[in-house]
Amino acid sequence: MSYEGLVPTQALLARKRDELVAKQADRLRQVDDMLRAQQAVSEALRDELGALREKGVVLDELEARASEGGLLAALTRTLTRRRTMLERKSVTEGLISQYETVNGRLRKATAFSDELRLCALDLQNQVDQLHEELGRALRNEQRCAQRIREVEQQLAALDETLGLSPEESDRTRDRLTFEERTEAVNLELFMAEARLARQHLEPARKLRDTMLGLHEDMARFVVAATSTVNAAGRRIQALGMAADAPVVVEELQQGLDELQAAMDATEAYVAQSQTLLTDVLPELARRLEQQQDVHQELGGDALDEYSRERARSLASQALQDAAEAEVDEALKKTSRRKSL
Amino acid sequence: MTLPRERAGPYLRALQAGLHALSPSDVHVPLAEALRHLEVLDPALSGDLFLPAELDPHSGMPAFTWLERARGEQILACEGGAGSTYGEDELARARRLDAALGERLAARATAHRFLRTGSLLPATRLRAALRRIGRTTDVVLTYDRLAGDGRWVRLVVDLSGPPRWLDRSPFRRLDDPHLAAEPGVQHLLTRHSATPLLSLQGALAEAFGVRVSRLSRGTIGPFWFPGGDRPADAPPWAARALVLHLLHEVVGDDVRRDVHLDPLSRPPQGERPPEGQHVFRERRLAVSPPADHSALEWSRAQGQAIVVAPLRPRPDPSAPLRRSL
Repeated sequence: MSYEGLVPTQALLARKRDELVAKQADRLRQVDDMLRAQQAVSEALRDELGALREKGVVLDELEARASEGGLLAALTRTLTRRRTMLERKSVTEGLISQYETVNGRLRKATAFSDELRLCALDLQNQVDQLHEELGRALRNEQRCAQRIREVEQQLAALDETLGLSPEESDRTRDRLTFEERTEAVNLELFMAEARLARQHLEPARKLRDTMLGLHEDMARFVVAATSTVNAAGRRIQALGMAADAPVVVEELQQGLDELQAAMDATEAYVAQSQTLLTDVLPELARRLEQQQDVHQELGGDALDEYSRERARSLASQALQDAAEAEVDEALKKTSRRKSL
Repeated sequence: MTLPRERAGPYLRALQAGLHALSPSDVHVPLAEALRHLEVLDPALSGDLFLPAELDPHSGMPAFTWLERARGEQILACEGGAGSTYGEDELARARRLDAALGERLAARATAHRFLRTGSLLPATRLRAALRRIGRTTDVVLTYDRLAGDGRWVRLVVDLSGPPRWLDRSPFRRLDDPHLAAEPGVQHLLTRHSATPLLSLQGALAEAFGVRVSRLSRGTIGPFWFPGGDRPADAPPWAARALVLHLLHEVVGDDVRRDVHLDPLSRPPQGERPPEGQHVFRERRLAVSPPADHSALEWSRAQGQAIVVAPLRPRPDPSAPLRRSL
C-alpha cells in the first residue's frame, strides 16, 4: 500500500510532538517578549509625547509675554541682564531636544512594527504547514481505512470460497491478517498524526492572530504618531525661524493640541496590550500544558494493542470522519453560494 | 514641500555635488557629516526608510523632519536595536514570506551599518575649547544648528577675557583643550543664531562679560533647483539651474577692512563694528553648467566678482563618493 510521504512511526510521532511543543513554547515566549517590548516602546513614546505637549505651558508664557510689546522686545529686555541671559531656557532648544527623543522612540516603534509583521508571517507559515500535515494525514487515514475494509471483505469471502485446500486457505488468511494488522497500526499512526496537527492548529492560529493584532495596532499607532510628530517637527522648525512671531507660537500650540489625539490612542492601545498580556497569553500557556498531558497519554501502550475489532472500529471511524468532512465541505459551499 | 520618491535621490546627489564643488571650510558645519547625512537619506542606500522627502519650501534644503528621521534611526542603529542585526539568511527568509517587508528590513540593515560609521549633522550642538591662558583667557565656541529655514549654520565665537575669567565663567575645564559649557550657553546661542551679526556680537559680549574678538557665521543654503521655489528677485540665469549658496560673515580683530562680496544683498545700513574691528561678508555659489558662466559674468557686472564653482551632479548613484576634498 502506498501513502503520501512516509508512514509515521511511534518514535517519529513522539519526536514531532516534542518539536511542535518546543516550537510552540518558543513562539509563545517570543510573542510574550514582543508584547512586553511593544508595551515598553509604546509607553515610552506616550510619555515622551506627553512631555512634548507639556512644553505648551512654556509657549503659553512666551505668547503672553509676546503680547506685552512683542516677543522680540521681551527678548531684548533680557539682554541687559547677563545672568538672566544665560539662565533663560530656549524654547526651541527644549522642543528640539524633546522632539529628538520622541523621534528616536518613533523610529524604534516603526522598526518594531516590522518585526511584529515578520513574526506574524512566520506564525502563518507554521499554520500552513500544520494544515498541510493534517490534510496529508487525513488522506492517508482514509486510504488506510479503505484498505482495511477490503481486507475484511476478503477475509469474510475466504470462508465461503470453495475449492481451496486447507493449507492454501490458512496461508491466505495469515497473509490477509498480517496485512490488516499492519494497516491497523498504520491507521492508528495516521490518526495520531492528524490529531497532533489538529491539536497544534488552534494554539498556532491563536498566536498568529495575537501577533497579527499586535502588528495591526502597532502599525496604526505608528502611522498616527508619525503624522503627529512630523506636524510637531514642522512647527518646531517654524518657531526657530521666527521666534518673535506670536502667530508661529500659536501655530505650534495647535500642533501640540494634535498630540492629544495620539496620546489618547496610545492610552487605549496600552490598555489593550495589557489585556493580551494578562489574559490571552496565560490561557495559551495553560492550553499548551494540557496538550503535553494528552501527548503523554498518547505515548503509552495504545499502539501496541491490536485486535480485529479495534481495526474495524478505527477504519469505520476514519471513513465516517472523512464522510462527515465531505458533507461539511459541501454544506459550506452551498451556504457560500446562497450568500452570494 | 515633498519630493516624489524618484526625485529624492537626484535631488540629494545634486546637493552633495554642490557641497563638493564649494568645499566648505571649518567655518561651516562639517562637510563629512553633511555628506553622510545626505547619503543615508538617498533611497539608493536606504530604500523608503526615510521617505517622504520633505524640503523647506523657502530654502530648498532638506527639512528638519526629514533630516531628523535619519538621526532617530542612528540612535537605534547604535543601540543595536530592532532591525540592526538581521543576517542574510533571515533577510532571505523575510523576502520569501513578504517581498516588500524583506526589502524594507534589508534597507534598514544597510542603513544601520552605514549609520554606525560616523556622525550626522546635529539639530544643535555646542563645543567649547580653551585657546589660550596667559595675559588673556581665550575661549572659542563652535555652535552648529539646523536653522529654522532649513539652512545649516555654524557660529564660531572667540571670547577674550581677563586672566582669571574662566573661574567665574559658565565654562569648566575638561581634558585640554576641551571645556564643558553650562546649558545656558547653548540655549543663548540657539535663541540668537539668527540675530544679525553685530547685534549678536553685542549680546554675547553682554552675556559673557568679555570681549568678542571674533565672531563668524557660516551658512550653507539656500539650494535652488528646477521645480523648487526661488525668490522673485533671483537673477535670470538661475531660472533652470542648480544653485547652492554658501555664505560667510565675520567680524573681528583680524578683519582689516570692511568687505562685502555678495551681489544678492546690500551691506546693512549704519553698521558700526567695535573699535579696531571690521566686517567681511561673502557669498559663494555652486552653479550647474552652463549657467555657471552667466553667474560669474553677472557677479562681475554687479561689481562684486564672487567665487562660482561648477556644480556637476554625480549621475550614477553607485559610483564611489569622493569624501576627501
